[in-house]
This record gives sequence, structure tokens and C-alpha cells, in this order.
Amino acid sequence: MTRLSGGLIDRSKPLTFTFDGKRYSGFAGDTLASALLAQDVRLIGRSFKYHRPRGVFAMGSEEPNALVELRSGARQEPNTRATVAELFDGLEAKSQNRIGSLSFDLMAVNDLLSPFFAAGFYYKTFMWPRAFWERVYEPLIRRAAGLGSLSRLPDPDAYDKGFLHCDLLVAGAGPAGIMAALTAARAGLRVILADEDFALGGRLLAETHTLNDLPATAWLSETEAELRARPNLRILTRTTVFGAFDHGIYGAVERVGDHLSAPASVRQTLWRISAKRMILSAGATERHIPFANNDRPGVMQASALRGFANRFAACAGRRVAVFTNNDDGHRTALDLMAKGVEVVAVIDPREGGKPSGKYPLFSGSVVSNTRGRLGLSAIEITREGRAQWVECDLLGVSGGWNPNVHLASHHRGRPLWDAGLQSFVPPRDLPVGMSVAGAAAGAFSTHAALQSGVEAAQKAFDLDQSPAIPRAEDAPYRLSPLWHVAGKSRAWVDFQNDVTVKDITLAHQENMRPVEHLKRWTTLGMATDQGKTANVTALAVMAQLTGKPIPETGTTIFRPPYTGVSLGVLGGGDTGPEFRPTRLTPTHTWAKAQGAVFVEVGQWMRAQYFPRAGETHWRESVDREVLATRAGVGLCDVTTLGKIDVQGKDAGIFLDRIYCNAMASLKVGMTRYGLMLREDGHAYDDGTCARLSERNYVVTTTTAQAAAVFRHMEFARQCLWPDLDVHLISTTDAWAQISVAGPRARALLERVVDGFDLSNAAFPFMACAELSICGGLRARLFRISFSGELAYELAVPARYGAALMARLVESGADLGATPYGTEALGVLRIEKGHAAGNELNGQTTAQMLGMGKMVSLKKDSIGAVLSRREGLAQDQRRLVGLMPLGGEALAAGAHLFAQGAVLSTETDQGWITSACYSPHLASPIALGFLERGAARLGEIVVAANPLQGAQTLVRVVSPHFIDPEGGRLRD
Amino acid sequence: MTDLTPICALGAQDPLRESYGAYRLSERADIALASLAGGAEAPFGLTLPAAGGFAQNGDYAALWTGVSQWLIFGFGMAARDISAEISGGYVTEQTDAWAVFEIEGPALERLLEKLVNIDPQRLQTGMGLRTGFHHMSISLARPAPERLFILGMRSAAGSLHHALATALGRL
Repeated sequence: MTRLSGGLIDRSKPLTFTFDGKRYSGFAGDTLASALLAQDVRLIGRSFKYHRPRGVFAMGSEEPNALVELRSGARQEPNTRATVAELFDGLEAKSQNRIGSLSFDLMAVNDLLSPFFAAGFYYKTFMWPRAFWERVYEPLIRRAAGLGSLSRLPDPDAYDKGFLHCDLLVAGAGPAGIMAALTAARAGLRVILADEDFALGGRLLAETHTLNDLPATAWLSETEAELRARPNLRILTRTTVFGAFDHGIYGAVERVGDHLSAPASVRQTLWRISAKRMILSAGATERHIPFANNDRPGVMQASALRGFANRFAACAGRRVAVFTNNDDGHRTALDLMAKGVEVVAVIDPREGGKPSGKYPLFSGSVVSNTRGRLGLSAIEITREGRAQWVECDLLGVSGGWNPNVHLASHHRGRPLWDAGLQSFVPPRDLPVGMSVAGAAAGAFSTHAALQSGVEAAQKAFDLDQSPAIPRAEDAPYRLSPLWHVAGKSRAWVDFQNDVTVKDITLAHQENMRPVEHLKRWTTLGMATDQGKTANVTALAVMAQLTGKPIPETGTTIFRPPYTGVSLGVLGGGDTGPEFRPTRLTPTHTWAKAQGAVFVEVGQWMRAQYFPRAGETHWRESVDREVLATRAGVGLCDVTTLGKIDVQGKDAGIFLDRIYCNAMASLKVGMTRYGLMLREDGHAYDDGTCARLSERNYVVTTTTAQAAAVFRHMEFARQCLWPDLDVHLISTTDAWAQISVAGPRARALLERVVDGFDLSNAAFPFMACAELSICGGLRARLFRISFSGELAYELAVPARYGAALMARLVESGADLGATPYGTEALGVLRIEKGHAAGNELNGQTTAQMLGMGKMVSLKKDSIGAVLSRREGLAQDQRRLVGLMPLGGEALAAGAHLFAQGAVLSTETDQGWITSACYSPHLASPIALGFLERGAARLGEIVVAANPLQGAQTLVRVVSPHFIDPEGGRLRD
Repeated sequence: MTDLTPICALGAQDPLRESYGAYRLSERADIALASLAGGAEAPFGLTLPAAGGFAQNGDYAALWTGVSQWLIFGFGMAARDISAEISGGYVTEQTDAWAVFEIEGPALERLLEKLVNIDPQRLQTGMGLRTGFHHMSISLARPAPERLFILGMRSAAGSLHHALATALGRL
């Protein structure tokens, strides 16, 4: 049939598209489903399990059948509901889940094998041989039962996210939602009105109802104009509010570019909406009545049948029948007749009804079967056991309406059974701030919906004023429940997952009666449509089998998302290197120009090593950098270490409590190594603490723990000791800090400082000072060493970091000044036996690190008491150095055992924390914790790496591989 | 005067300036910053604002950053150490701790909703807030209806710029 008259499509804008390669046409305002139906295309897909022919069943997002692959190439998207895919010029759609053509699907053999695919067949059929599951059964099932296919190409589209704040969020812009939004907006409240459709109106767009005696579209356009003109109201069309989360936060996806052939900018936006109140006006979904072979293309919701005709002027048949147990279904017959479509039968199981128009009414009858290979050709009407066949190509089915309560139960509220409506209505314990209006609350007539929208907004905000409610139909909802038509053939309940009344019966027989078991045994409601058209009917069927009322049989709780949400939009947009922030050091641009290789250290990108021409392996570069530092002077950007400025009258007291060792006694102009413990007595973090003035300290932390230590200190300041006069501020990024290490470090620094005395007497080991360099640049100098060499750390304002590094390299060329990266830094500190993150892993103690005596007994500090507790204080593992007897490489993570011991947890004596190749010793070396380690120097133990089958004999040595007396530092 | 040449947070010698339709995005490398804590007197004729406030006086401004804690701005004074000019309280030089971006343009609410989970009503002229943005902690200040300062970690200036530029490019 060609297009009917009327409708809300724009006939001045024709569009062309393809379905399975064949060209079709449609109009702006069409969906893919409406355009196909308008051209008599009823067969659109194949069902999940049995590969039965399927067509469009519904008109909205509840569609279970008409799933297609939309677009091609990287933009190909499977399982798109044709009913919500807006038509655009050049749209490409393909049917899915078939082998061969759509009309001759080889997998349709499954339908003949259906006895083998009964409820729970997964659990029964593929049990043996066990090895077949992964290699044979699973791939087979996936091939046969998968729905669409993925392009396996990177998603070319951009996704966005955003945050909205409002007084009222209205989800659903049908009559109730529009009135709620209007009421609140006129009161000056900030309102967001969201709807998944591209046009406002909801069901008003699909019906012929009048408002104020005019077509509803007249009232809609007038009202929409007012809403759009209001600065305090925002309309979000193509936007699905998919979840109600905590604290009045709602998730919504706006499909910004899905209605275009390619998005202009972003494809979808994820909105996080904070709303003081929310009105759910999501409407209702018409349910069907299962009967034998009720899944043929051409069998549709009665409301969808008339909706397609009214809104899209689309009707895919010439002879139409309607099967309804309520008055609403009769509207379908009347609306279609008004459009010139022949209505051959209205089948109503209620006795004694009168037709409301000139159509043949079959009272007290049911539809008991259908015919038609690839689409409906006839229905069997049964009255009191007598059957007759009537030819028709479309059948609208109405079993009543189910309020869309989904979001109302996202906080675990259980929907309530309304015996009058024979439906579940929203729970009493709604998410805080939410109320429900319109058909979603069971207000099914247009008048009731309009009024309930006003009332919901008035109640939410205690308002008196009401916009004028337009005159509208207020027909009573008369229904006589009919949950399925009994019969021998399969009658579908859940179309998308191919669950039939027989499956539910079998689940009942097999004692899978609680609704949760029923769901899992039959897979009912577990498809992409989440059983929107199936769940309540399935419950009713189970209730009949158990002989219990429906509310006692159970109810379904809904979880977000209301409809499928793409992972792309949930991810929030950025992928690749911009997926998370990156921090660059002040010398980054300089290091990049030097050809440095960078490594991720948390969020930081640090120079790992600086390869030079001719070096073919990273070890060559690292060995060179280490040796150059020990022989001359090395330069390393150590800005990433956390720096915390501590000021206040009580700064010393505060730091005494934070560090396990004393800091209040530190002299101005000096620096001290400090160790922090956790509350439980384990080592937390280490670093240096410099006292710049009486009331000003600078604490440094490890790179990894910089933020955590700052947070820890702020917590202590604000919550533990608010009485102390202490102020903290992070200055990590403010200062570029460069380590100048090696026997010629002093000589190099003398070339940049502005007349500052660097002699050992004036500026000894652990001294610190504020000074100026390079002709007046303010700087800080700390004489501290991580490498074990004579070393300084020089800090300047970050913007000068790159220039300073370049200056030091340049002016120290004759001293052998060599930049080094994190690899060399690691080697230098392992050679010196300094702890780092590997040793401070949260499981170690000061004693284990050989620093037990640092935990001061003269004062209290965080973790001090618990560090002395039984069980922790007795731990005899100590930090030791390890060297392989045969020069083999050692691996961090290897465990240590006595020679000859069986390798087991019971005999485990410790582990290797850090390992490297030491160019200084020309041997692999390692640090590790070993049981009674301090007393076992010289002993040979086994470093075992059972994962890789390696066992290495290692000698226990001092962890200080170089200069154990510390003479170099003090030179 | 030092002979070392400074660079901006984004790594170039000159601050970045970009246009996105009606919007301008600039890196403000000229602003001197200092944090001020403790029962201090208000410096530079400023009125130290209460929580959520941003107060400006000529070339100076103060952003509330915590209980008894403010960030003092000196516009065009990055070469100076303004922390040395503040007496009383506890002062820390902060100029290089932050990358400061300025966005100028109409209807900044439409931009803000893509950047931060903040009700634009709470970020009117004369207001400032600390919040999260693109997995970073930032401070925002609104000196004028059509101007916005975004302060983030200097080391993350590149990521901050990427996220701002992306949002601006989509308006």
C-alpha cells in the first residue's frame, strides 16, 4: 500500500535509503520502521533462537523484533531498533542474525529443532563432553544466536559529557510531562523537559484525539512555542533519561548526531543531571496477548498499528484485524477505517460488546492461531471451541497497558499491583525527589494524564497556580484480563529472546517458579529490550500456573539503563593518550629536544634515559649515565617529588607528629631525612624535610605518594589537630627541581650561583638555603643525595626549569655534565641502598628498612605506638643487598629461600624488591627483604622465580653497594 | 635580572591565544600568584572574600581557597614576587604552581555545563570555586559575566588545554 493520507511526515522532503541493499524512499519525520511499513515491508529480521521471520511490533523504544544493523564501515551499529532510528538521506540498514537471505535463512532449521531449545537448554544440552564447551558448543551457539555483528573497527565518532542542574527534571514529554513542565516553568522554576523522541507530544502524536476541540498538534505547537521561549526551561529531545542514581542525579543520553548520516560534531552526549525534583512521565507500553504463532510479521501492538497510520501515514497491509481485551483496542479499528483501511475483524474476548464503528466484531472470541510463511496471511478466530479462519495481513493486539515504571524502581522500590488497572504501578518508595505522572502512574486517559502532570508539579513545589488544562478525552479504561490464549502450538511471550508460554510452563514444571529463577531459566526479559513487552505477561502466565495472584508471584525490579547506552558515551569522550591527564615536567620540552625516551610514572611523563648516537640498547645509555654521574656530574629533573610548604607557629610540633623521627629540633638552614608511618605502624612514605625559617618547612614526598601524603597531612591538620597553627600548601608544580649529583657537582654549581659559598664548611651535607642564581633568579638549594654522591637539588620557579637544565648541561660540558633519566636514577639509588616505592609498598616497617631506631621514643607520632606492637616489632626481615654468584640477572618479585629448602609459602624467607644491573660493580644487584637479613651477610641463599622456572644463587651483602660509610656525600 | 629565559606552562615562550568562534582562550602567563593563609590583613586593598568568592581590586584579586586561605592574583606581575609584598599571615609564592587559562565569550553557562559539575548559578560574577575537570582538580573564578579563569596544575597544562579546546570547539 502507498502512504495513507495525513500524518506528521514532511512530504516536501523525500529521503532515500537502503534495506538489505534495496533502495526505498521515505520522508523527513519518518523512522526506518515507518518508512519500511509504508512500503509494505513487513519482514525485517530473524528471531534470536529459532530464526523465525519477524517484523515491526511496536512503535517506540520497547521494540523487541525489528533490530537492524545500521550504517556501514566503522559506523556500523548492530541491534538498532528500526522504530527509533530516524530516517536520513542515504541511510543504510541491513537485517541481521541470518545465514543466507532474510527471506531464506538457513538457520531457520532451528525452528524445526525447537524441542531441543526449550527453557534451560543451555544447562541441559551442552554438559558433555566437558572439553567441547569452549571449543565447540560456545562458538556454535554464539554464531547461531548472536544478534548483530560488530565492525571491529575503531569508533570514528566523538562523544561528549556534560552536567545540568535544575529544579525539576521531567522525563517524558507526553501530555503529562508537558503539563508538569509548563506548570513549574510558569512558576519560575528551572525545568528540563527530556524526551527520547525527536518531537514533543508522546502519545498525542500517534492519536487522533483533540485538545480544545482542535487536533492535538495545534495545542502542541502553541505550547512548545511557549516552552521554548522560556529561558528557565530547557527542552532536550532525542534524550533518554536512562537511570535514577543517588542524591537526585539522573543519567541521560542525548543522541546529538544519530539522526544524521555522520555527526556534525559529537555523536552523543552523556548528561549528568542534578535535579531537586523529578517527574517521571514516561507513559505506558501496550502489552500483547500470547496465542499460537503470534510472532509473525504483521502482528503488532494495536496502538502501534494505529500510531504508524496516524503519525506516519504508514500501514503495511490492506486487510486489518484487531484482537483486544479492552476498549482502547477498538480505537485502532476506528482510526484505520478513518484512513480508508479495511478492518476485517475486531476480536474481543469480552461478551456482549457492541462495535463502536462499522466493523465486524467477534465478541467472546479469541485469536487462536495464524498463518503466513514470511508474514501474516490469516488468523484463526475461536469462539467456544469453534474456529474459523479470516484472511488478513495485519493484526493489532491489545492486552492492556503497562505503566513504564522502570525509573521509579531504580532504587529497589517494588512496583505495586493495581487490580483495577490489572497492571503494576509505581512503587510507594520512589527514589527521593521523584514523583510519577500520566500513564506511567496509571492515568491512562488524555485528560487524566494532563491533569496528573499539573498536580505532580504543584505537589512537588507547593504551587497553587495551574495552567489551563485543555479539554481532552477522558474515556474510562475498561479491560477484562486475558493473559494468553491456551493452545498446543508455541505462543510467544518474549519475542526478542524467543521465550514462549511453553517455556514458562516447563520452568514451572522444573520448579523454576520464583520470578528470578524463571527469568534465568528461560532468559525471559534478558534481551536488549529488557522484556519491556514481555515481563508482566510472563508473570501473569506463571501466576496462572501456580494458582497464585500476580502480586504474590512476584514483580520485576528494573535497573538502569532504561534503554541501551553505548559504551562510547559512558566513557565520556576521550580515548587514547588524552584518556586521562598527563603531567609534564618543567624540562619536558628540553628533554624532548634532546631525544629523551619518556616513561609514564603515574600521571607524569618522565625522561627515562637519553640515548646518544651509536647507542643501540637502553642499557648502554643507562650505564653511561650512571658512570658519568659517579665520575663527573649528572643532572636529573626531580620535580615530580611532592613538595609541601608547611608554615605556622606550630609547624615543628605538627611535623613531629607526622614524621616518626624528630623535626621540631631541625635547625634553620638544615634538611633531614624523614620517615612517615601509617596509623597501623607500617612505613608510609619517606623524603626530606628542610627548614627554611623558624616557621617554614618544606616537606618532600615520593612521586607516587605526593597527593596521598598531602591529603594525609591536611586530614591531620584539619581533623586531628585543628588547634595547631599550621598551614599547608602544595608547591610541587611551582618549583622545577634538578638533582646535580657527582663528585663535580659543586664545581658545576659554582658556575651558576650568584656569589654563594658552597664550601663544605659554609654549606655542609644536609644544608639548605634560599639564594639567587644566574644573575638574580630566586632559587632554593638543598644538599641532599639519593645517589650516594656529593649531590644537591636546585629548585627554581618552574618556568625557568628548562633554561636552567640547558644552562647546567652547557656550562658543565667540561666537567662531564650528563643528563640522566629515571632508569639511571633507579640504578644509582639501588647501588646506594636507598628505599623507594618498591621497598615502601605498604607492607614494610621502619625496622625492616633498617631504620627502626628512627621511630622516636621521646615523642608521639602517627603510627609510633602500633609500630611497637607484638607481631610487627618481632618481624625479623631486614633490607639486604643481593648479588648473584654467577652474574645472572635478578628479577624483582623473586622470593628468597635457604639453600636446599622446598619452595613453599612456609619456607619463604623474603623477596627481592628492586633489581638492576650495576655498571659500577659490573654485576646485576638487587635489594630485598630477608629473614634475619642483617645477621646473614655473606650467606648464600636462593632467589626463586617459580613462575618462570628460575632459581639463582645469590650472596647476601650490605644494601649499600657503594660507599657504605657515606664519605662521598660529605666531601 | 636573570639571563635565563622562562617558558609558559604549555612549553612555548609566548602564551597561547586561540579563538573558537565567539570565544577566546588565552594562557595567562602574566599573573603572579601567592597563597595567603591565617588571620591575615587583606593585602593590596582587597576585600578577602568568603567561601565561594572571588574579589577584584584593580590589578589584584583574591580567590577563596579554603578556611582562612586565599589565592592572591597580581595581574601583569608574574615577573615580580608578590608574596614578598604581603605582610602578615602565611604566604607562599604560587605563580608557577598553576597554569591559568582565561576564556572570554558570551553565554559561558553553555560552556560551563560541558566542563564542570557546577550549577552555573553558583559561579556568577564575583564567585570562584574549586572542582574537578577532566580528572583534574581545578579552580574556577568568574571576574566578569563573559570572562572565566580556569586554574589547573601547571604540569597538566597540556591536558587542561586539550580538554578546554575540545569543549570550546564543540560549542
